[in-house]
Amino acid sequence: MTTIKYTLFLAGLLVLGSCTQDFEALNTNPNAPVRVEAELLLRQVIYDYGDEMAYEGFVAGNLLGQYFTAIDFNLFDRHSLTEPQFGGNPWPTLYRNLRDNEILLAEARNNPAAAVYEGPALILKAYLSAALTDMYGDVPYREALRGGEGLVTAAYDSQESIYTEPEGILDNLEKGLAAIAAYEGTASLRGDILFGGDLRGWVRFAQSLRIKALLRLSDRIEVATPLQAIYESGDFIQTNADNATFDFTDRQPNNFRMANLRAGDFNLFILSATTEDLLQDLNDPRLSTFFRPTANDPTAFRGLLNGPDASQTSISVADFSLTGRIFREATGSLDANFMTAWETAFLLAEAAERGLLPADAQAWYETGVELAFAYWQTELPADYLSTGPAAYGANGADPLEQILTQKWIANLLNGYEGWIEYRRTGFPQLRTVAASLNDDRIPVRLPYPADEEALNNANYLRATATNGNSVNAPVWWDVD
Amino acid sequence: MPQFQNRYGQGNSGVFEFVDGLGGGTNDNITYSWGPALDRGVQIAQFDSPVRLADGRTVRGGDVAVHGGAPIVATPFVAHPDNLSDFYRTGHTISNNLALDGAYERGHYRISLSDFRNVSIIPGTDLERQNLTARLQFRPLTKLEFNSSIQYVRTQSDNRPAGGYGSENVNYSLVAWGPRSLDTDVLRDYWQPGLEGVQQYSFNYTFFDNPYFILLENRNAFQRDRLFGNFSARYTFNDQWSLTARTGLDLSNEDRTFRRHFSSNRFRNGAYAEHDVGYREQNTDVLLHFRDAWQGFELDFSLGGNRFDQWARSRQTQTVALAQPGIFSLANAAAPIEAFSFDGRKRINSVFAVAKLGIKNQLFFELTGRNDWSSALATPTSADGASFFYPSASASWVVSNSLQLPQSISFLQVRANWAQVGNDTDPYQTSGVFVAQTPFNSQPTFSAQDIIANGSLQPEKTSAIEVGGDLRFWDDRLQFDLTYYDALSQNQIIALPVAISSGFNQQVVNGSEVRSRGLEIVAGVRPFVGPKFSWYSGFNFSRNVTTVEDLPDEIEGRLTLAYSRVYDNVNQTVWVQVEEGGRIGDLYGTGYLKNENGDFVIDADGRFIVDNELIKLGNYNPDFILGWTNQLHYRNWDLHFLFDWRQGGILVSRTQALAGVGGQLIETEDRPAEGIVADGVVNVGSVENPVWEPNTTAVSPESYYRQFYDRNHEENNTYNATYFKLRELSLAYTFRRAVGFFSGGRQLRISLIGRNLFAFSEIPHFDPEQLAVQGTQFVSGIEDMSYATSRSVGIKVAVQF
Repeated sequence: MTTIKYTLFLAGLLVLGSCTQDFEALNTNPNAPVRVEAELLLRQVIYDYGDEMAYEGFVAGNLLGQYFTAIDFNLFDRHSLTEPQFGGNPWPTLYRNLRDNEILLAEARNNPAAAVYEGPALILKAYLSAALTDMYGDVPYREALRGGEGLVTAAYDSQESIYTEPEGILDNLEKGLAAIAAYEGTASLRGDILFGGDLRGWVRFAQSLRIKALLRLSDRIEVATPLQAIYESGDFIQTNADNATFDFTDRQPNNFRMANLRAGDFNLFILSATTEDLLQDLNDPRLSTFFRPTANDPTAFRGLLNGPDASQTSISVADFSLTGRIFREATGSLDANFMTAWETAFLLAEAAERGLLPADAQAWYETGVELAFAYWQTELPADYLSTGPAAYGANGADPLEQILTQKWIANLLNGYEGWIEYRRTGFPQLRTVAASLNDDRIPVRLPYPADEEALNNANYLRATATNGNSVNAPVWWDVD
Repeated sequence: MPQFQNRYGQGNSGVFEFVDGLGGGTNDNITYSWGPALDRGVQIAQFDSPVRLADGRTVRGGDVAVHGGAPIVATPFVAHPDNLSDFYRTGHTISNNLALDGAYERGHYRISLSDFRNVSIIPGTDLERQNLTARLQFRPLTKLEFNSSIQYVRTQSDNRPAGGYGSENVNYSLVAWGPRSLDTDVLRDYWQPGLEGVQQYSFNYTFFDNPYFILLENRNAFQRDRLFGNFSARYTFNDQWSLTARTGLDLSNEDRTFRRHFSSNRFRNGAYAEHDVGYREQNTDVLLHFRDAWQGFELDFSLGGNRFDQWARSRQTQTVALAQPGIFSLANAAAPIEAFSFDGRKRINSVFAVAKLGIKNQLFFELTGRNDWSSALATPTSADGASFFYPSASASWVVSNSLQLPQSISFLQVRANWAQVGNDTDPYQTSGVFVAQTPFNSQPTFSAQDIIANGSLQPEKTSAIEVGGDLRFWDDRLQFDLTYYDALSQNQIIALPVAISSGFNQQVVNGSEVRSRGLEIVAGVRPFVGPKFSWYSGFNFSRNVTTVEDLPDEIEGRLTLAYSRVYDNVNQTVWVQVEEGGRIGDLYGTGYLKNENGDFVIDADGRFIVDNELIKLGNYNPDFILGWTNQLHYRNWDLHFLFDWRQGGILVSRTQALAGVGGQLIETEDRPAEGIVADGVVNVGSVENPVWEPNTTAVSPESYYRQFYDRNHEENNTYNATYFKLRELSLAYTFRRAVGFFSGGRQLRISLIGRNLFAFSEIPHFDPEQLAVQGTQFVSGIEDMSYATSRSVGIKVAVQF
């Protein structure tokens, strides 16, 4: 019996003595870091958002903006926006990047060694938030991104408060500028694939974004005073070299996503009739940058009205213009666009033309056009701005329409911007789509995704109580 | 096997012509079957029509890279009704098994060898398995005994077919998008001449790969070695006491390779991946055992301790472009090599005790208690929450041994037990990390993980009560076994989907309280028992209902447990949701607008109207399952058959949605020239005061069917999953004679076995037993481009000597 007791004692000791020994180390994930350098997050947010939004621009934004027509799997192009086949739901991309950016911002504020990231993180937060609310209207904002604290059902905030209240878009842009101005450290900003770590680039970016936000709200709030102050500082993006963009490459993994997709996915997108007519009327050579001649006639560009009913139309792709080589074979020439000199120039031209800013509208218009041609690597025809139909005020043209049309052309692939600015200004005139699933109306917002209805139901119901999640309910800044 | 329409071939709006399979012809961009009528003597250029080259050679229309767009000579546009059944082949499985055993004065041994080879009905896919088992017992002393068992299994395949929706699954190009005019036989020669290894030959080059090319060239191979076994030593001190020490090991390693050739639609420059998956598990315990019996009492008591260790490992390296076609090596990469790795570790320490008491062979009691400490419940800074205890108690009474029952009752036992079971989770759920993403210009990027970790996870606890009885009559010729159970699970550890506006898409929680109640009845009857003729007939009935008793407080409304979607499309999603008090398994999706009478509301153009409100499609669980098995024996003959009946439950079908929209299925055969008038009503009143009148506006058949089966709306693609199946039928003959070779217990038995011989179900297109995969999770109630299941017939020969 002694042996038994001794063995029993040993066995007990073996187990009980080490019940939880080393458990902390055992359940520490060895595969991935629990915190990462700010640099890795900044590069991630810029690259991921730029990559995703350029793809969104191609497959969905360019349909709503009527640059491209989708010939099949095209319920989205027929304006049933809840039934997209490719892209058409930028919501998760925006929130995921806002989350990573929020972690970056917290790191910048809590870790003195990362303080240099505070300004850029605030500017990116404003940029991403504006993209979100411009498309959807009221969205989860102040309670959003707090899943880590256990808050997984975020209430929606009004667009007005997201833009104008403290901690909102305008406030964060100013705070970002202030943080950069106040930064006295010597640490370099790494992971900055927009400006190579140059904080002056971020200042110009933020000021251009302020101009953009102010014009977007110009039917709602007084913007002349702040616009003039920014304008006088001269500290906004003025050259293509200062653009907030990064370059795609020709080969994987950093090429433009359409280069890797199946031929069929690429073939679904052709020149739209809206763009065909606008660019042909302007004799605009960017037509052959953005599109290819038809396969059946190498001298012809041919487009199709948006939103055809694929089940009643027989379409031969060879009769129409597919999109250009820059989107598939030569994506090394393509940029992911956050903000540019030409967009800033057109905003200033508009402000001047509308009397919101004492500046030379025509000069800014012409600067914008020149910058936009250079951006799209297309030679500006000599007569384009002098005697051609794009000349300022030519043949009684409405300068405002010309400014916005030129901006719209250059905005191709810039997320949903072409469509967003159409909603605000009505220019250029987009068309009723061929087989509309939205009563022949052009949608004025994106619907919240089904995930919100399923997973954030109570807040979703409150947010949609007045608009029913309708794509025809204008957002706050959209005043007709 | 899907039921197809065979009246219309490839095309749209009734027209078609193949030029390059890239959209250069008429409707040759996508391969719908809304084209011209088949078998009407019409001649159309097709992918298999001839092209005469300048050098005199003749190639096929689809050899586009060879003929470069030369004119294709039109050929008859005819139906290929058997193009899918011809694609599948007759598979076969050969299984051999040899076992030897024996004993000597100090122990015994058993060695068994088996070899399994399956050639699947799907071309290019196979599976092989060899199994070697050895079991040895050795008693060096009368009180000391060693036991060991070791098993080695090698499993390998040159190719396993891909599942789910997408171009890697051949059902994508054969069922959903394989036009009815497609001759699959021509596709067997799947390279364009002179471009072997570089350019496949297919009926379409935009979306769809040649299915033979997918299966024979784009292979997913693996080989797995698994070695497991245990070694134990037991010392028996005396009649009462013994001590056992045992350790077991389970070791496996799997090497997977994935090859993609040049010209694959998704990998134009090929691709290659190597994935090694390793697993190791070690279980060691020490058990002290006491047993005694006196005056009709039997006591059995054990006390033990256990340590469980688990290691999991995964290494994947891949490239998404190759330099030289056909060379599958990472050294041949033309794009940066990407690497993914994972190591997981877990340890559970336990102590446990079991006490059993038997009284006069009438009453039996058992008490158990176990405490586990699991590392998976520890956080990187604390192991406080790692411990959990769970007891159980059970009692049974063999009534027929203690009371005088009527003569007809041969056996009666009643039993009851109460048990708790605790459970932990996978490692690393208690803290979050950052995950490497696509580098930019070779510089790294990291993003936070999308799952919210939980630093205060509690162990799961299930408390179950079970009562049952075993009742037999007339020398066990009629018997019933009934069990009723009621189990309450608390603190279930689940990763629930959450809205991405929270910054995350899943949250690890100690979830809801779930109650599972069920009834199981096994009944058997032996109308005949005799050496020459006997018949056993058995029924197996089960019903289970699982309801959610309590939801986490923060949930308002329905809780989403899981979902399944086409690609990652948020609007093509079936949601598994539950309400407080509701039954688990409710599926939600969308459909077209209906009025208060349940009629489809049709718009002025004669079309259905999209309704994006989530509606309940049904519950995937069956109302009950009933099996009926029969064994008949007559002299040397044995006949066995098994029927299965599953009643109720729903199944949402992607095959129906996709192949319906594609115009491939029998449901789309009726295409009247005057169009189709959707069955529904139009509102001729106002929005506030609707007045419903039957719809009279026709739309084109293509337009009608493409909207009706559209994948964004699941309601029209939902089936009742009830089925009745003859699952197995076998007939065997045993050679058994008292003389010659078969004397002395030697015998030879030959059986003819049929499985899955027929099924009654409302579903015409596929086997109603389905599971879909979303990520790494199985989702019930979804059919996702499934392969045909096969009827099998086999012969089994068993020799015993």
